[in-house]
Amino acid sequence: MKKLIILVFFLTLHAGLMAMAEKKYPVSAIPAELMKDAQAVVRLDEIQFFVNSAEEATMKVKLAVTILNENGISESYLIVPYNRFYKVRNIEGIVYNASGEKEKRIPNGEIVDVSAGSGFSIYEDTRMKGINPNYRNYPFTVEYSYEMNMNGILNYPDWNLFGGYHVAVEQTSMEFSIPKTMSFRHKAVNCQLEPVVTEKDGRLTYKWESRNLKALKPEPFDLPFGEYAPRVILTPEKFKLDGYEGTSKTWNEIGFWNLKLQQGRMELPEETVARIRELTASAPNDMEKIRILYEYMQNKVRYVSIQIGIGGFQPFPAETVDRLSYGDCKALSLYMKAMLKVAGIPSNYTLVMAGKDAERTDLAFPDISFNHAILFVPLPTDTIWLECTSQSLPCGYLGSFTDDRSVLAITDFGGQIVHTPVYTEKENLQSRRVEVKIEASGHALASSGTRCSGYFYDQNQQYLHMDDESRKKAIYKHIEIPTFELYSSRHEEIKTRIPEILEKLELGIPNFTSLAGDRMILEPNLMNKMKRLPVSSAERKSDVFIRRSTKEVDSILYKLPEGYSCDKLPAPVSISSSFGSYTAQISLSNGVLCYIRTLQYMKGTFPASDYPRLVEYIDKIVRADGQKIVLMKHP
Amino acid sequence: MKSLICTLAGVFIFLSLSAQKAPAKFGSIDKSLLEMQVYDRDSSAPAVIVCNYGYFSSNDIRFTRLLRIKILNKDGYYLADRAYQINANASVRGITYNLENGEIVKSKLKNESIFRERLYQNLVIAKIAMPNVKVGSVIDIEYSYQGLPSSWEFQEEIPVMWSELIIEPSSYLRFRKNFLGYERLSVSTDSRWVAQNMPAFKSEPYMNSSKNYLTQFEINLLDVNYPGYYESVSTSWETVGKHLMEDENFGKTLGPGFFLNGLVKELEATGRQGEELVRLAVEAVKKVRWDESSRVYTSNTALALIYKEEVGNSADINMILIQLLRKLGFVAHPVALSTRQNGLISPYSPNQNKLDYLLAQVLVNGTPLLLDATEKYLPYNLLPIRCLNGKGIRVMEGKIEWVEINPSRKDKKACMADLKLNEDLSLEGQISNFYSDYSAFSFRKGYHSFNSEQEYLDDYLKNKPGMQLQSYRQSNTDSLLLPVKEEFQLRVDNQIQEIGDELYLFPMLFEQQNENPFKTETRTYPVDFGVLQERTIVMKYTIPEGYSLVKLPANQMKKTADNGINFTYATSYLNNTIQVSYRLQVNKIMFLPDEYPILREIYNLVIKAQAAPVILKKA
Repeated sequence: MKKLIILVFFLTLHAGLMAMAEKKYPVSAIPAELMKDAQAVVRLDEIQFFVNSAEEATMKVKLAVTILNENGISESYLIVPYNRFYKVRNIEGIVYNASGEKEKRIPNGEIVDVSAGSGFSIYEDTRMKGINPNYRNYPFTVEYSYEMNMNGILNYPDWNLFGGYHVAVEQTSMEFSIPKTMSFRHKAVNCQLEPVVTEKDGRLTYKWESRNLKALKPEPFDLPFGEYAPRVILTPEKFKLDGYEGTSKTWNEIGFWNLKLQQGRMELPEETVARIRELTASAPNDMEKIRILYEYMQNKVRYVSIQIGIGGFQPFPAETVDRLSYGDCKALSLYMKAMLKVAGIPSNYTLVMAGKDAERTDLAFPDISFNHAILFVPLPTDTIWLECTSQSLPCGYLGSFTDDRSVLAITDFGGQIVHTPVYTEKENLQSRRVEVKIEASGHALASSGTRCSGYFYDQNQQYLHMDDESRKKAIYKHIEIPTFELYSSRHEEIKTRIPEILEKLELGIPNFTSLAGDRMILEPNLMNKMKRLPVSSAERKSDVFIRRSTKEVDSILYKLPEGYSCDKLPAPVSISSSFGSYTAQISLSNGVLCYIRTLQYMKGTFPASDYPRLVEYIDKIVRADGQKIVLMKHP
Repeated sequence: MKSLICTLAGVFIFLSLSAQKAPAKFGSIDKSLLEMQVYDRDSSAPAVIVCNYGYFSSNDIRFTRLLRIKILNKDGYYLADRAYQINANASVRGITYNLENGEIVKSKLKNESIFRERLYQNLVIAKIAMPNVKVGSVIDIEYSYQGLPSSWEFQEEIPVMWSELIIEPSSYLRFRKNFLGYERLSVSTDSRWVAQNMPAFKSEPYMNSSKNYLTQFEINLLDVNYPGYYESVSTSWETVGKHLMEDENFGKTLGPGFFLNGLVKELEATGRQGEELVRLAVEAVKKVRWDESSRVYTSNTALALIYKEEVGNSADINMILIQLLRKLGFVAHPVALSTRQNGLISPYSPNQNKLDYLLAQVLVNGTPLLLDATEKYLPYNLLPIRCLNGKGIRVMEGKIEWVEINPSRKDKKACMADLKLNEDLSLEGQISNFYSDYSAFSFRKGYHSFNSEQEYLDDYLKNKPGMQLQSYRQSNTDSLLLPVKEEFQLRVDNQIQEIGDELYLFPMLFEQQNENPFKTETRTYPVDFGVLQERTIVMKYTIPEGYSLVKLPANQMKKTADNGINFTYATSYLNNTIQVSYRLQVNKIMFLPDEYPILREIYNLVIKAQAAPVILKKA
């Protein structure tokens, strides 16, 4: 009898467990407001991070994501990067269908292990393990868990409440546990979350949690994702990787750590030292020496990305670069530093978060989050910045990849925050002058000369590096004239401190004007029209962000065919706003119609509530750019 | 005696081959090559392949490739960091040559500059970063491995001065080669092929696979025959067909298909027959989602498993469809083909490796119908554009047959507007869009890439300044056989220009074509539209009392002699109503380079016609 009871008990228990196991993450349980703008919903995101020492930690991750439609398919993949300091274990994946029934467990054999070497790097020792659940019956849920043992630490993982755009979050948490004897820092960014702190067995545990977060959408003129998405950043006070120890309480300390990585790596072979002395012997000043050596380096080496060991933070020795004539950003910057040292010019290897639209470094929170290295050369009356991975940039110019941001210079006295050059609209200038001869048939011949400097140099630099045929195709693709023939083109580089490209184009434009009896209709804005309107939105989230000040000036002179004139020219347009200004004016004299347009953006961050004003501003510009003129033929 | 003749013949061939001097020798170069500054035939080339030399030795069944590249400017540096797919046991060596003070200086490639990454099994990607590369350098890279390459490219993205391939006849392997491309070879014997002065290969917009045009050999092993080992690979399309039928991931997957019993019952219960039943079968198989890979082989030998997992490649899905159709009593066969991206197949050069897709063919009342169930938004009577690549082979027990794969439908889109001009010079009324066949497919797919209707509309309004939507309706989004219809009730400000007492209205409004897709004046390769096209726009404007018409845009008409492309533009004015109709039909898929000027001219005329305004005057 007793036996039977136990059996019954077991059966019910078993049935109970079955029922529990059967339903997990049903789609019906997602709050309706989270479905808006979402292609996936994170149902659960739990990170548990246990610090054991400056060098050792373990991490447990559990993640469940519901994929709502095919646009969210990439959210169903699990990707875990690792390297020789990180060991990944116990990866598990389970797929549930819409109603929450278990569909399949991912067999171990389907967990891939591949090189993470992107097209970007020729070699990286980073690999990744991953799962493609290969399931497409929407909506469905994937549940993953894994553990990671870290045997070398530079930084702790951030807790990002959002993984990306169009993904809502139902529940997310971070549990961070650390021995009481160790210190760390944390900061809530773009949110006011406070951790719950508990103490047990000599360890402190911090737990952050958040629920029901609506999906974020990319918005025109928005801040970089990381600058407005909520997250909590954490960083160790003491860390150790590959035998190199460091502290990161201050930027200065991080600098000392990085300095150690460079130690003993600046020696150059004797012949090279002699060559450097010979090259710079007759240079009149330091600036000239820098230029000579920078150009020497540009001609000697090339950039090859090779990321090995110590998180991609230790440069190859200068001797290796000298011998192989290539290196990555770190190796080339250090090589340049070594050469300058021979010439008696001190310089600083400098870490930077690079990218045209990269997140800006938070100065109040020192940590190691950089992805690039450049060289900073302070002179008594000038400061020279060198981008050592470029074989073509003029000496002293940093493009939009590294301009206007706080960077960490590694000096002999540790790290020091400095700011890279801010180029204003005087440098970021595109000025164009076109002479257009309109024939009575409506066809036109245009001769255009454009001077692109600063930011516009960066944008047009590609033309300098193409063979003739590719360049021609690129011009056809980029010039916004409905149809034209390119008679000739030339791109000339002017390597001044703020470099310029001079673009000369000779074009034939069939049917440039439209003829209607005695009338000739033309659009005076030849090739620089603003066409797209930012979407107006009632729920703008991000601040309005204009990263750089730029200015464009177009002067177009139309030589009209005999007998045409215009009775009524459009009134000049002048629009100004806090985002910049726009003017367009047309005048006619001696059979020449002169159109002058200027467009200027002013860099700045404006509150989200200013967005409708920006839309209004651009709307006016789009309309003004579409303005047409009617010319009449007078007998 | 016979064997003696054979030996003699062998010796002869050997002599004639070895008499041919290799065009380059690893490790030794001429100083003049280092002094060269510009490649005369292409003065802006960043680098030039001086020599690309492949030699297959029949003695040790080993293939050796020597690549010699001259770097002409810094933009050619990328050629010094290249990845080569090789066997794990392949040997690689390299040298960079520089001229220093008039002397040739060599830098050897060392192991520290070779980065091997395991791809899978025995295959390795060797990434090589050549040392000391400068402007003017010459680099030699040589690697060798056992076997034959699967292709030999005579042409590359940079110019090639000399490309030579030698394959010594071997009793161990037989192969066939298939020549592709536009450039000619200067030497072509049974075992030696040379191409000289190949121009750089540049792809063009509206082009089918560049693989069809790049000058190259595809090399197919026919059989491998060592003493004690024989493997026939492919000798004819019939043999290819036979192999496919015998393959566990092709012919052998078709069987009783018990896993479909339930579905068969369901479909039979509908009482539908013939083509209607076929349609239901295609829609039912779409339950298995496409994983976006094009394959001719199924991913699993058991279709039942794939069906259960509900995701599969093109072969998985269409093989399940064939199985289902057969169970429903239809005659259905697999059709193997090469997708557009993968290049054309030719009846004259059988090549099993060139097949990368599988379609189903079914007989409905004696009429063959090609089917594909990979695309959720494509109706059963349309094939994905990737499949429209000329020919495929129907694979059956014991035989194959060639099947033409031609698009039956067009990419057809129409826009109709009925707008009223208000006194305040705004326009108000309705615009309707109709998307049929391929155009409906692109619309449905595009529409579903937005997460909501609002997102779609936000995007729609992006390049339409002054437009305000009052309402939006969409119909037939989900009924695949019908055209999608969109209706916008709207108001448009600021699109009419008032100059003096005249009004200028550009009648195509936001539909005006502002760019000629064929801007470049010359064309090397054929223009390939993929599918036939038809675009219709009819704009109707009602003019308020008190205005009179000054001028209508001119009527235009132009077509090619064979009616391959046909354009008409017609305007009319009647009872205060202006109507402007535009139509462009592309009636053939491929236009040869000598038809390019007229194609370009027609698009120029389209732009010109649409740019002309309607001029009105206040009475």
